[in-house]
Amino acid sequence: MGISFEDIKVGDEIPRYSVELNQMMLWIYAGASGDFNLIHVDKEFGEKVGLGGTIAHGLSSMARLSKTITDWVEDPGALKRLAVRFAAPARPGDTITFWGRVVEKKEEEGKKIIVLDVGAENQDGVQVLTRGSAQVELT
Amino acid sequence: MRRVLDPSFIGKEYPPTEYEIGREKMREYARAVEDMNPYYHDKEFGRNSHYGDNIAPPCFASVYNLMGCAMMFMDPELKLNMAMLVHGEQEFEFHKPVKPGDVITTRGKIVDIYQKGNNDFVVYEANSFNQDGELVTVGRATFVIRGGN
Repeated sequence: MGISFEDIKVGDEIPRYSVELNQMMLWIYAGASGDFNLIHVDKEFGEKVGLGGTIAHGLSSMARLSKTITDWVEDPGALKRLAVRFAAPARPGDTITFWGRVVEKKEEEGKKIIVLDVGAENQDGVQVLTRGSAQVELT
Repeated sequence: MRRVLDPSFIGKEYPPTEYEIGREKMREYARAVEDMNPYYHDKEFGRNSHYGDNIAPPCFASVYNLMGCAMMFMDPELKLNMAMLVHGEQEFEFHKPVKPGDVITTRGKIVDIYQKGNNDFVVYEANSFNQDGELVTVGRATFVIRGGN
C-alpha cells in the first residue's frame, strides 16, 4: 500500500516509465485536451513550418511525467507541485522515458514533504523535459 | 532595433473563465496519456477513498487552468507574434484536487515580461478556484517568442 515517508531516502529513484509515441496518440491527446494546433496533428503543416513533422503537446509529456510520479505515490492528491521546461520536442516514433529522483525530505508544520528532480528524455538521450521539479506531501 | 514586448503589460488581467469538471472528460484526458489510476477511473474506488468521489488527474489543470491563455494570445493590444510563440515552461501548484461537478473559475494575468538574448518571454499566471471559493490550482506558463515579438 503506497510508499512510506520513513522508507524514502534522498537519492532514491522512482520507477521509470517509458512510452513509444505514435501519431494516433497525438490525435487522441488533441481531442482530450482541446488543443488542435496543427503542429500536433498535421504532418505536412509541421514540415512546412520547419519542425520536420508533428511534435507532441508539451503538456502531454508533463501529464505522463505526472503519471510517473502518481503511479509511485498511488494517491494523486499527494502531488502538490510540478514544474518543467519544454526543452526539446517529442515526436511520433520516439520512445520517451520519464524519471524522478528524491533530492530532499523534510517535515514542516506537520507535513511530510518529498522534493524530487524529475525529467524526460528520448531514445537518443536528448532531454525533452528539463529543470523539472516535483513536490509530494504524504500524510 | 527590434520591437520588444512592452513591460507595461505586466499586471494585465483577463476576464475569468468558467469550466465544469465532467467525469468522462477527465477520464478521457487520463486515458489519453495512458494513466489508468483507479482514483480517476473507478467510481467505487473513488467513493470509498478519502475524497468520497473520483478526482481529476493533476495535469487536467492543462485544460481548465490554461483556458484563459487564448484571450492573451488574441489580445489586440499585446499583439503577440503567435507564429514564433512556443510554450517554454509550465508550473502547477496543486492546492486541492478537483472532482466531477466542480465548477472552476480561473483568473489569469500577465505577471512578467522580459527579454533574454534574442527572445522575448511572457509569463501568464492563472489562479483556479472551485465553487466554494477554495484555491485549487495555480498555473504559471512561460511563453517564448523566438527572435522577439
